[in-house]
Parts: sequence; structure tokens; C-alpha cells
Amino acid sequence: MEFEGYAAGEEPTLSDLYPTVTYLCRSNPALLAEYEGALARARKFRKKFVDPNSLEIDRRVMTDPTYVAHEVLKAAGDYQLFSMLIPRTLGGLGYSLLSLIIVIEEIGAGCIGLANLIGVNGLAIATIASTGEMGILARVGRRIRDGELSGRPHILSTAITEPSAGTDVEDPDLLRTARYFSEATPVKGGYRLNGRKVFISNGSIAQTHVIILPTDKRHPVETYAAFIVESGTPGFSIGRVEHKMGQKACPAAELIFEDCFVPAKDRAGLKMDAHRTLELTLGFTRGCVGLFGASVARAAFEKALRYARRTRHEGELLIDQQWAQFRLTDMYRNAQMARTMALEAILSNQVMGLYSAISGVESLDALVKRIPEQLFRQVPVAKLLSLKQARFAGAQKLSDIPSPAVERASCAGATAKYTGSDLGMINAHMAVELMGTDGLRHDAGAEKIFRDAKLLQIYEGTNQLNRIDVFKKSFGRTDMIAAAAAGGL
Amino acid sequence: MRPVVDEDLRMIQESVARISEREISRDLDALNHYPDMGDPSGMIAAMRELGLFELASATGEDSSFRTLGIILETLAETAAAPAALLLAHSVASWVARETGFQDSGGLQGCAIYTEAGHTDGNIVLSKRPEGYTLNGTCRFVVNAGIADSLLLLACSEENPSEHFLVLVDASSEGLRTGKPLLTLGMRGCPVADIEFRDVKISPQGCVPGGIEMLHQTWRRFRGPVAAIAAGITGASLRTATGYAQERYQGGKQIIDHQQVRAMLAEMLADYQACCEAADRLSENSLPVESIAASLFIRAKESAARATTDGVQLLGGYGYMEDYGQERRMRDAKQAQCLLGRCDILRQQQLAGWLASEAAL
Repeated sequence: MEFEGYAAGEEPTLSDLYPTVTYLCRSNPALLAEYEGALARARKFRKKFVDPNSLEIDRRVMTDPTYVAHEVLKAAGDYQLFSMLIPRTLGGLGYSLLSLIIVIEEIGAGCIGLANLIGVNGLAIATIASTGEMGILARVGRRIRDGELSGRPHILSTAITEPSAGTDVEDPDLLRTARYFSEATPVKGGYRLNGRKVFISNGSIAQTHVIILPTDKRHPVETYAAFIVESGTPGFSIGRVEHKMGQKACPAAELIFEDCFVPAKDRAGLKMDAHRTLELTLGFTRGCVGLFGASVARAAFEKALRYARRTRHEGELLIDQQWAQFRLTDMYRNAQMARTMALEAILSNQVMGLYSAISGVESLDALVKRIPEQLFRQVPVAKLLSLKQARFAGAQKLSDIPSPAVERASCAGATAKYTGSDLGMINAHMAVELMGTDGLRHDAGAEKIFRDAKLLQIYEGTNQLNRIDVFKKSFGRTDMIAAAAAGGL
Repeated sequence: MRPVVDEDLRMIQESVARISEREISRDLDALNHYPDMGDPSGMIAAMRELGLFELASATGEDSSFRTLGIILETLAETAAAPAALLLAHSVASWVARETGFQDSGGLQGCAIYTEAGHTDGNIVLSKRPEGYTLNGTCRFVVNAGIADSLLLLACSEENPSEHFLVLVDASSEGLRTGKPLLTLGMRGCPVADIEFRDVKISPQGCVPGGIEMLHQTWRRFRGPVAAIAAGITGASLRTATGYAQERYQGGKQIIDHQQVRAMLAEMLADYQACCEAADRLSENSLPVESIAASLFIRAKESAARATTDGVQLLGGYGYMEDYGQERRMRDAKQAQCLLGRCDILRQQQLAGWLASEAAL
């Protein structure tokens, strides 16, 4: 297979980006058409709404961090980008995960801040799904779809990080010693939330928030829970909107809870296993951050490639100079490597992790696809799934996934996360350097990629934490260490 | 601040630190968003009051390069923007004096983010009966819009391989300064593209042999650039260390995690590489040119690497503007481009080394 897009100086084709997938799909034209359609749709969205606006949005937020590109959010709704991940039975469009990967990477290659603005919903969806609460997911999924249809996108946020605890509260093993500031105290009919959450992506614009809190902060592991809080709930307010270095299109805000009452029905999960919920959620979302890393690595590479093709140094085009060729080749390799790792992570979550738990829902999807959406929307899915039996079934489905499978999927997510984001950062460094003064100017775009890339190494657990996580889940497992000490390995 | 033995230098260092703390740091938040917010005039006035521009203009002897290095390093510990501003003025003043241009006494500007002799634009000097005219665009000129005169490199219309150094009055007719650019780092130090349309240049305002002169200048100013890198890296290291001693994770201070210690130790090594380069290159005492070039490249790359880790060590807080770590990361990356790209400098370095080996 030849390189198509890059060779022509145009955008890469599906086979440039995912050659093996394209090759394997040659006997399944319908699947190939879905993937190519996903890329075409994402690229159309990117060309129309991301590429022409991303620098201007970035610059505008520099002086006003509360500014949000609502027109891009609305367009994302028009392109049905919010509901594509949610199974059809739960109110979404039920696209395959691979289509999602293709769409995320394409938008992220245009602007990772805008990709995050649109993609943050995925973290909340994954968190709710990890609790097994398909009733709540169906309720939220329906709102997301309604938002798309009405032109008023329904935005979600997920709040885990606390002022004095970031990495700790995102690691099952560190949870026990984490310095929790906030708490959800059980009261009659529900819970009373008090405390603060910080750096919450889309926190200032979301209508629905998924708040992770212990019901007893002295025992966070045993009392870990997720609460659904709607904006406007008494006792809930938005604090400071942060001035970030990059990814400015996606606001990060502080959420404040002062005796905020949440009814018991909005606590997700009948009985939540903190360890498993975190593993399931982060296994998936870290894979997505790894994919963001691939997007950034690709964006930096493509920016540098365009520059090298048109810029001369000492009379010779940079692309014809060997040192630049080596740099560009490394950058191309880095983007490929990040993408491959992310692909592995997200697919492993489909077969072994979070998305294997909703496979039952997916099979229902096949049936639902035959029902016109207008008709199906009249079925009270959320209510049915909120019945006690359905809630138990959802929780059971999650606990049926074998622990080693969950750990493997989670390990793949962490590996992809730190690999992709490190490679994205490396490529961003190289692009700025290769482009000289053009690399330093905002209007040329590379410096924005540089600023944006850094956050990927920090959120969803710092890359240092992710390395520890990979160690503990692979060759550094406690049982392996014990076996080695006993001379078994 | 690094300890300085020489008493005069220490006094200068302390004065610069004082003015940085008092006058410059208060404008940092706004300058971080320059040119959309903030105004560098307060910062420039404070520097002028301390006589930094005069000191920088007087740079010539080896000892004065050391002084310039101390000033730039101390400024960069607070903010790199005034250091870049002063560096451009100093470079232009030095070239002007070495080439015999008449010193206007005002603030000077030039393009310092390119390799010596690389014009990063296309400026043509044409001979006319009454003198010369300048046409074309010079990109990414530091101190554009605030400088009284600008130093630039132009090629001759008659012989494009011949280059002239040109000193242009910034108020000349036909000179148009573009809008101040929003840059990755060193925000607050104005940078813009400048367009020249039939700008008249007197015969005394241009001299031939421009590229050779710039190569010599760029070599001489590597020390001050390394000093800027040292200032930024030192501040990032100190902030990261302080945070690591305050922040708890897993029930212990994060500085007690081995990986955090390893990262801080790497930052320390990078900082020391910058300091060594700043000192030795300013002294001009290195016997072999290729060693000087190696130290210089290593210092710039070390600063960019260390300040990236400086953000990482603070986690989410490092990414927010409040702690200054993100600014240091951007500043160091921009400083990496000062006096040329490392990849291209490496090519020149090896060519120089091979030539010196062949001469033995």
C-alpha cells in the first residue's frame, strides 16, 4: 500500500494512519465504509470549525479564561460527536470504538484543546458506566442526544482532583492515604456534599457533573462513590476558572460544594468497588489520552513537515537536508508509535475492560437499530434500567469481568497514556526547534501545540503515576515479586 | 541567586535582583499575556533607571561579558523577557561599535533568534546615486516598535552573495513595523516583523562583510545567552524543589519518592550545565571553538528539558500560570532558539571542529 495523503502533500488517508485496519477490512466493505465515513466526517468538522478557529480561540482565552467556543460545541452536536460513543439502547448513536478513535485523533490533530472540550463527556460516560448504573447512563445519554437535536449540547464534567490530592485520588493504591478535603455525608434521603474539586475540565460549562467522593473521608476506599449533580443545585457553585498554559479551548474550573444535597437516586452504583471502578474508568480514559498524544505528535509532525517542504536554509529546502529528514522521520515514527499503543489500549478495553461490560447492551443495539429513532425515543429505557433488578444486573455484569482482564486493560491504558503523551511532547519540542522563529510565533501554530502537549503528561494521573501503575500491573505484581523472592521466577 | 565572589559583580547582582523583585515581578501577570495585555514600558523604565542599557552598551572586554551574564541571569530568574530585551540591545550595540557605526545612544533592536548570517527574511540593499535604499521584510525583530535604531543584515542587489550590516533609524520613512507578535515565551519583550520600502540609508549606515561580523558576534554572545538559560532553569529548579518538599502523596512528601529525587537531580545537572556554559563562555577562555559550541548547545537544550520537568514536578499546579513554572518552560524553549537552532548549530560546530583538526 502506498502512502497517499502525505505523498501528495495533503492530509493523510485512513490507510496512511491505520494501514493494518484498512487492510484487514478489505473483506468487510461495510465496516471499512463506517471507518472512512468517520474520518471524512471528523475531517469535515475539523476543516470547517477547528482549523479556522483554534488559534483565535486560544488567543481569546488568554485574556479571558471564561470564554468558551459555544459555536464549536454546537457544531459538534450537529455532527453528532457527543452521542456517537453511547450505545444506541442508552440513547446514543452506538458507533464502534474504532470509529471513535478515528474521530478523536482527527479532531485532536487540529486542536487538542477543542478535542478535549468535546471529548470530556467521554470521561463522565466512562465513569458512570464503570459503576454499572445503566439507568443513569441511559438518562444522561438521552439528554446528550436531546442536546444534539435541539442545538444546545449537553455537557458533562467529571470531578476527581482535590486541592491537595491529584494523583493520589486517581490511583487505587494511593487512595487509602490520600488527603481528601471533600466528603459526601449520608443524610436522610441522600447525601450532603461539602468541599472543593479543582482543575475540572468543562466544570464551568457542564450541565451535569459526576462527582467522585468518599462518604467517609477517613475510609475513602471503602466508601468511594459517584454522585450526579446538576448545575444550579443549591449549595453547588463554580469557583475560579484556571489560567492554563495550553488547551485553553477547554476550561478548567474549581467546583465548590457547601451543604449541597444530592438525592440517593443520584448516587451511582449500588455498592461501588473503588478499585475496580477506577481501573475500569481510567483503563479506558487513559487510552484516550494516549490517543490525544498521538494527535499532538501527528499535529507537530505535520506542521514541521509543511514547514520543511517550503522553507529553505542556506539555499536548500529543509526537506532536502538530512538532519531535517531524520528529525521528521523520528516525528513520524513517534506519531505512529503513539497511535499503535492507543489503538491497543482502546481495543483491549473493548474486549477485556469497561466496554466488554456493555457488550450485552451492544447486542441490544443491533435490535434497536431496526427501530426508527423517533419511535425508540418513546421507550422509557432509563426508567426500565433504573429498576432494582436491572441495577443488580448492571453491577453483576461489571463484576463478571475477570480481575486479570480488567488489570490488563487498565495496564494497556496507562501504557498508552504515558507513551503517547511523552511522544507528543517530544514531537512538539522537535517541531518548535525545527521551525526556528516560525516555531515561536503564535500565528504559525507550533507553539500552541507545544503548550497544549504538556497537559497530556499531567492529567489522568501524571506520567510518573502511570509508570508505577504499569509496573504494578505487569511484571511488578505483588504475586510475581513474592514468587521471584521464593526463587520461582 | 548564584553566589558571586567578585564584590562589584555581587553589588550589581543584588541591585538587579532588587529591581526585578520590586519593579518587574509586579507586572509579570499582565506581561505574560503581552501583547494582548500588559505594557513593557514600566519594566523598561526600571531597567533604564538602574543603568542596565548603558552597562549593556558598554559590553566589549571579557570582564564586561561576565557582568552582562550576571545581569541577564539575575533578570531571567524573575522573568526572561527583560533579559531578551537587554540581550538584543547589547548585541546590536556591540556590532554597531565594532563596525564603527555612530552610536545613537538609544535603545537598539535586532533579530537574535536566528543563526548568524541567516536573514530569516529577504532584505535587499540597493546602491543609489545619493546613498542606499533598503527593501524587503525582516522577520522576528526583537525590540521592534520600541527601539530607536535597528541592526539588520541585508544582501546587496548587485551581488546577492555579498551581505551588509545596516543600522536603520527606526523612525525612517518607508519603515513599517508590524503588530507585536504573540510569542511562545519571553512575553513582554516586543517582537515584530518589519517591512522596508525604499528606506534611505546613508553610506555611513552600512558596512560590508556582514556575515563574518555576525558569526563573530554570535560566538561572543553565547555566554550571555547561556546565562539567560541558567537564570530560567535555576528558578524552575528552586520552585520544583520547594514544591516537592511541601506536597504529600502516598502519605509522604513527594521529595521522598525516588523518581522525584531523580528528576530533581537531572534538573540540577541541567542547571549546572547552564551555569558552567554561562561562566566559561563569558570568560572567553575556552581554547577550542568546538568545545565552546558544545557547551552552548548543551546549555540551551538542558534548559528546555529541565523546565519541562519543572512543570511536571508540580503536576496540575505547574501547568497553571500561578506558579510561574509554565512561563519558565515557554521561556526556556524560546531561549533555545537564541542565536540559532541547535540542529543547525551542530552542523556548524562539526564543520568548525573538522577544520581545526585539519589545521593541526
